[in-house]
Amino acid sequence: MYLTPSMAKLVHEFNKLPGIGPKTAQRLAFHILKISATEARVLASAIIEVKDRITNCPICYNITEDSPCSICKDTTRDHGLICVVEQPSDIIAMEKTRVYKGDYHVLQGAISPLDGIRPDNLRINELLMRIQQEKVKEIIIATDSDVEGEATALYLERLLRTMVARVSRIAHGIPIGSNIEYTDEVTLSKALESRRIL
Amino acid sequence: MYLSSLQIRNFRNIKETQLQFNTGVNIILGQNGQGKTNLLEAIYFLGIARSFRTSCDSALISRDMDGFFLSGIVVQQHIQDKIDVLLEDTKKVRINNKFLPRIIDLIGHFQVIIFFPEDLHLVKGTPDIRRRFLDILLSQSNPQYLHYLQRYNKIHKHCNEMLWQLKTGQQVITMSELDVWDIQRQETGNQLIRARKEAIEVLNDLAAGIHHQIATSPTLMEDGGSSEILKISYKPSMFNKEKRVDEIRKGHTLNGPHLDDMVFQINEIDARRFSSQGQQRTASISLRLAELEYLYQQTKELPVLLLDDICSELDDVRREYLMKAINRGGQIFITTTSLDTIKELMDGARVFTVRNGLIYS
Repeated sequence: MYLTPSMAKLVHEFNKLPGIGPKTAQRLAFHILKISATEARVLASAIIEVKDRITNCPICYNITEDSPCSICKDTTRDHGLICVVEQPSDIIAMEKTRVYKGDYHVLQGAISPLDGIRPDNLRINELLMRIQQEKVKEIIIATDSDVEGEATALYLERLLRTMVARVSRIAHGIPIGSNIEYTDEVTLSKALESRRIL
Repeated sequence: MYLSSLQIRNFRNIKETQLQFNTGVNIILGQNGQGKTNLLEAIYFLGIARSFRTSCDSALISRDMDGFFLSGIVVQQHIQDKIDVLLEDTKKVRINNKFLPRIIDLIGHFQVIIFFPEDLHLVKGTPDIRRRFLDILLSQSNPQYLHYLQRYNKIHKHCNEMLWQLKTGQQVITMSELDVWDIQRQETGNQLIRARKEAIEVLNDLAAGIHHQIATSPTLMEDGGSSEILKISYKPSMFNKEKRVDEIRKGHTLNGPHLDDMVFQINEIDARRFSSQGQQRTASISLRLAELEYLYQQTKELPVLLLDDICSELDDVRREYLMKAINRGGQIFITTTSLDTIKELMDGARVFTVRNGLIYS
């Protein structure tokens, strides 16, 4: 397959993105070739802009363009409640619920010795500082349920239980609107384990 | 459960073939080195997504080819499933034309049991062979087991990484960090231990009965044989916090289910070290037959049996017993160099002849 040097470079760059294989990279590159120069510039500047503008909130470490972020600034939210998540994208999912009205804390990862990620590499010290400075009533640990997420949850639980009145872990169970018969065995047994008395 | 047809492309010395199978006995006849076992290996691969002969998948690709392709129709209670397994750059599995997100999810869709000469090592060999036996059996009968096994292996790797760093002093690691992984390792490990314990108790009962029947057959008794009692017991590697110091010194974990073993005793004597090869072979066959019964009890389906060159290693008594015991109406694939050794299975059987990678029916 023959590509001009500039096309080859673009394909190569797309190929580096997560979830983009060589074929998709090539398709995207040809799409860019088709769009107008203005559109291409808008796209390019959008990429530059996020890199220039976005920083971490100095309180919760979510991505933000203001300092502190809109959630930390919001006086209507319950600042005594902190939900600890691994990634900024987890906040987006939580916010879509519109149920949660507390604050967040983004760890920016999970403990993973195999990847060289230790508690010190996460925003755990920053979380401890927050707990000392603010009046925190409850910490909700909402890390993933893979082994790294569970290890992080366990580490935080043991670290925080003497410092905060309540440390809780989000529940795992059957997705709403799905049939029990189609739920995988592992999820179903977890749901049985954490059943509640009516 | 049975395999109704199989398409093979570029697998070992089988270039391209499309086969229709008997729901009962399928005899794979041929001289040595023609490709009989390769056909069994392809069928096994469709069930477990790995070989029973090698852990290197690329060794299964025909010479000078880039990949292999297997596609089989599996029928279970009148429902057909099409299973495709392909190896190109990576291994992929499709069920009814849908790719599975993880290869491992294949296990349980098509249950197979292999009987082959290397089964002797179930008794005689190293503990990892017995652990693999247990893992494959339990994964086929219980999807949750596989989930815990994978989780355990991942946690275990993390643990070893931390212990190694502690040993080499590359980084300062606090005990509370290690605790977090150890707690998880124990929780998950205990699930494996519990499942293995339950399974071995059932296997022991089943295998002891089978072994006793083979060993006390009139012919063997006349030959001066004596009654034999087989006992299979579980030897779990229990978690022990006091080992922590040693673990840090060595840089890896020293206990847990990844170090478990199964112990075979014949008349209360360690069969691995002190029994004769004949006794060990009887014990290994008893275990395989117990596996068949266990899977049947758990899933209410007869798994597909693959017997590779099993008759050549057995005397007439054991051979006849085995032929009777396996012939329960389920599907069987058996390789042989001569029909004489498997005459008990000939009734209604379909014979496939293998010559230089080509299969004739």
